[in-house]
Amino acid sequence: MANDTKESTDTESDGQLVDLVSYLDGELPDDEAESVERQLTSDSVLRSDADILSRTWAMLDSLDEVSGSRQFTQSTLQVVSQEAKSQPVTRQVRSFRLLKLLAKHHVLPLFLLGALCAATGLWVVQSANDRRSAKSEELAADQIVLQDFDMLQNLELYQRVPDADVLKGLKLKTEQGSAERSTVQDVTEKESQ
Amino acid sequence: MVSQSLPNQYLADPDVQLMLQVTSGDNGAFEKLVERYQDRLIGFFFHLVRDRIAAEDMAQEVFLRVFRARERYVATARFSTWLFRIAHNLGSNQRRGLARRKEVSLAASAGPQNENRSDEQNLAEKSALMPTRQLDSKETQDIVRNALDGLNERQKMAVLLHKFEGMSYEDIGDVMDLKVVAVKSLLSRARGNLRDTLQQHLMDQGE
Repeated sequence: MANDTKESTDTESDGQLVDLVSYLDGELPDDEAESVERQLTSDSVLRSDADILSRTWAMLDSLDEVSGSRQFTQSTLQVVSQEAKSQPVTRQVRSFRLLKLLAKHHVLPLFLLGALCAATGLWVVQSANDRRSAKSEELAADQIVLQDFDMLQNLELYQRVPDADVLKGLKLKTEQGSAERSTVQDVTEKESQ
Repeated sequence: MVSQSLPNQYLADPDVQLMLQVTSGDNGAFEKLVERYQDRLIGFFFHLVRDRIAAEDMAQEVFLRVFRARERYVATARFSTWLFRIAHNLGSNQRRGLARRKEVSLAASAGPQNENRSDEQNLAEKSALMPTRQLDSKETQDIVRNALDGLNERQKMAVLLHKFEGMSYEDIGDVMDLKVVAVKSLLSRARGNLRDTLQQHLMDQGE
């Protein structure tokens, strides 16, 4: 910046100018202010410089003071009132902006993809569970078949028996036959002895 | 009186109290703040951009920002310091924008005086009836205005806040986000530059 690098005057260093201006502005602590006052008393060039600084600063007072137009207050309050009324709309607009922002940064597509993946995973797990329960039912049926396997082997034979009396008669005959067989066996054994 | 959970020194500032009332939904308090500060803000921006309409627009924008910020307002400074911090930020951005677009026309730099002057004044000037003293005064104004415009942005801001707002170096530091030592340096360079530009005119007047 041209103004920053511009040399002020040959009469003072930067530090001296800072102190002098701060003194004129009443911004120096008491001890430093007293030091500047002593220098001003003894240094006529510095005193002249301080005088020019003060007078050029005072020239700024010649600038016009500007005030607001008559309508300014009312128009400002109207603008603010409109702002207050439009705030809910602004919130909606902000929500829409947020949605657009999410879409812009691929957050929304990623979210939808994630939801799709989760649904697919649920479906896979559910199908596996269904298959597992169906298999369990099959195993239970096989177990029943194994338990009654002997009966099932002779099922065709059993189906030829008309009723229970035939079976009872059959049983009696079987018992008598075996008694005769055992009597014959005893006789045979005695004869051989 | 509206108060906050933690007491602080700034609550003694009546304008801080008004702002806290605005926070509570008191529109009358906001109107009072507008009335109190509108001329100061318009003057600040006018010296900055030298365009009355632009200055009013900028002042209105500052009040709008104040209103928007009401819900999160915390009294961490005097109200005027907080307000001019907003004004400073807006002014800095505006000046940068203007500089980029090079929209500051010579017509605008002539200032609002032409708009505001009465018909009698214009007639007097045209008919060369204006007293010499008035012409001198106008000439002085132009010279001073040009000298002020010759400062860089930060120097000009610091000068406006110090000279026209009567702010201390500490307050200027708060507004411009600078340390006091930086404000001292900024203002001393600004005043040195003003002196270099204006002292010839001062001598001419003395003759």
